[in-house]
Amino acid sequence: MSSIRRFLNNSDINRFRFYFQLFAFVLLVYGGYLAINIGEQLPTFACVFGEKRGGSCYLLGFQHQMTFPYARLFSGPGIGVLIGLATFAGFFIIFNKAWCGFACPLGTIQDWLTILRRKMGIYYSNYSEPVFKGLSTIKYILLALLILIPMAIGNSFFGLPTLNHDFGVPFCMICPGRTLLPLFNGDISQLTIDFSSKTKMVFSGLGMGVTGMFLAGAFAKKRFFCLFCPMSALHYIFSRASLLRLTKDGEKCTRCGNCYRVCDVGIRAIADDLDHKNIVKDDCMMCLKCVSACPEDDCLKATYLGIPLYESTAEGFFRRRLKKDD
Amino acid sequence: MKGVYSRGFFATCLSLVLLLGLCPDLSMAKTDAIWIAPAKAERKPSGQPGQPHHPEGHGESSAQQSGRPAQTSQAGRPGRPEQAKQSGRPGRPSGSGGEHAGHGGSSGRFESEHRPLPVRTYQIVPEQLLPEARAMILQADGTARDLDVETCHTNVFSVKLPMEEGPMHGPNNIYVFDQQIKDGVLEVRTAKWLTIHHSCGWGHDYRNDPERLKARSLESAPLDIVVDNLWDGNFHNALHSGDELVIRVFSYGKPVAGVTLTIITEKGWTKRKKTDADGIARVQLIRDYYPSTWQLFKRTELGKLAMTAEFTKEGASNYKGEVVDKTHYISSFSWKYVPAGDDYNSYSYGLLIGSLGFLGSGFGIFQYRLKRRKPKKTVVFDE
Ligand code: SF4
Ligand code: SF4
Ligand code: SF4
Repeated sequence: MSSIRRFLNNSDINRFRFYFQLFAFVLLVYGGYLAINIGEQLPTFACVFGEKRGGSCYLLGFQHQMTFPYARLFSGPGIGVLIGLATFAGFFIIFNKAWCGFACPLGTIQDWLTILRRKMGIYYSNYSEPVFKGLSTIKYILLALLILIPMAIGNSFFGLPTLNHDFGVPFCMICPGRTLLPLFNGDISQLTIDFSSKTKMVFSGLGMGVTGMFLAGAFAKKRFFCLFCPMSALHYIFSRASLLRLTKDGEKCTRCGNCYRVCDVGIRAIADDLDHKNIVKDDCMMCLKCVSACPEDDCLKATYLGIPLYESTAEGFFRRRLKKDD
Repeated sequence: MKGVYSRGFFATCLSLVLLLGLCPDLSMAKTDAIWIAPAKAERKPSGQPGQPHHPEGHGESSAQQSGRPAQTSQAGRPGRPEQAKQSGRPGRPSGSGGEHAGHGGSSGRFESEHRPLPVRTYQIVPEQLLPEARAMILQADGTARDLDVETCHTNVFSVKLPMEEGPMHGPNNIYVFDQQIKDGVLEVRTAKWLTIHHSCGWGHDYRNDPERLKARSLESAPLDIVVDNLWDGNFHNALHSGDELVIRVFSYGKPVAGVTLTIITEKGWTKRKKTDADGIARVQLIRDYYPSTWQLFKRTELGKLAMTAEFTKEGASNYKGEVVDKTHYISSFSWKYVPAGDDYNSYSYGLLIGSLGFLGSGFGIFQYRLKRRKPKKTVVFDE
């Protein structure tokens, strides 16, 4: 048992993650070819606009359900909404934010752009701490809008006229998942501006603009989009209940800052926070790079139902370091 | 199988003249054919067989009944605030789990477009249905069953659909058959209507499932029009103007060659084709929607499409003790189409805005990095 644990702790999680992401990408983007359907309420960007997807992102259905008038939302169909949310939460609770680090196709594309940049010898960009804090609130604003805008279709707010259905799935209209993921199925139809109504025109224009920003941003800054992702905001609501955890023993932390330096998202608190045991922050994607970069025994660890899966060890740290230096 | 086409040809010409001049409602185009159309809308809590009942309450069927074209712009388009107000709910139909929105799906007005309805009611057009008429349904799972013949005789009949995942989840084919001897020829008529029963709340297990999604032919149908690719992998109507229709014609489950197919659109475009040796005909649909300005453009604008297939078979046959030496088979089917995406989507603007977003952000990042670059500090000692 201890040799298995030692083997795991000495392993290179980054390499494992690379191949796992590839597998998850194929499964979620091409699974439809094999009639695979993991689920309809996945807590990850398995974009519904991709014809051959192997599961479906929850956000599209969720936004649609938010268009229900209050009378429906608080009656029979409301049960369907609750079941959808519970299924989403169920999926999420199993893997926590590892959905982002290991499965999200849009996250994987960002990681591939990072590899490309690194291969081109271009140094990455990072935000200063105040900019990081400011930007990370945007995802909560987007989450609020993706609930409120569809709600204003089925319900009148303050006696104002209701919105038309072209506002139906506002986040999907600007989501880079909609424009980019169908490309992997050979479908370029989302790369257009829709002139069939003014609303559609504005939203599809925004969508293409965001796609351009996504590509440039993710090339320069690791996991650029994840900081703004409303799915990540929705995750955070359920994160505390998850079975998979990232824990930190503040007593063992020497504040060397290794974990912060390797964090693709740029979460400073992973190094600074010595007080909390459950260290999963709202922007964390549970890539576990911080665990593999930590040189202190048992300081950072990923646990499942309290059982350690991957722990920081001095031995593992030096082995990985030596491999890199070879 | 050999056919004599003169009769079919004249019937088709007659239908075209009537269509253009007198009868703009396609589903009642005055050919020899009988047609199935959604019955008059009447909102009632539950459907009784034989009573007109249309829980969705859309205006289409009443327009059809009154013999005028359905005015798609009048009754409140799906997704438009007028309709949301009228019906007290968002324009898109929904089951417990909700339907898709905003991605080119349900029009809200086309009866066949996917939605969950507990009862669907249809009428036979024109109304001189014969006493021997019978109705059948070929369910989405491929099983067939009879529909209530008695209700059929009122020219209005209902189909009850379970509001759950089951054999009817998906495309269901509804048939009405009748026959009579007319001018020494046995006239065998088939009318077909296709309706898609689906709620996202029942799950998407059949998404892209070729078995559940395929266009089917009823083995016992004397003449059956089967059109491929009318809906997409998720049960949305997928027919656009300009698309190629692949039409297969079957007689008692076998493909028939040389059948005259006539396709007529609401705007008067007509195409006539004969099926090839495999019983297949391919027809490219016309693009016929050109509003004067793009602001008037409606991507959900429905164009109507009616098809008839007919052929005459030589040879003696006996019907109710009377022997005839020719049998004329005629079958009808109608569907709707929406403008093609290319009519309102622009790739060039899309790529232009995408490129601007890319270059603008790239430039912004470059400037940001430049600003944060710290100048080298040099200390000069004064010797
Ligand atoms: S567009 Fe984005 S939010 Fe919408 S379904 Fe696709 S991945 Fe999910
Ligand atoms: S935060 Fe990033 S990885 Fe997670 S769902 Fe959003 S885009 Fe995907
Ligand atoms: S805190 Fe650790 S697990 Fe979370 S994103 Fe950063 S490196 Fe990955």
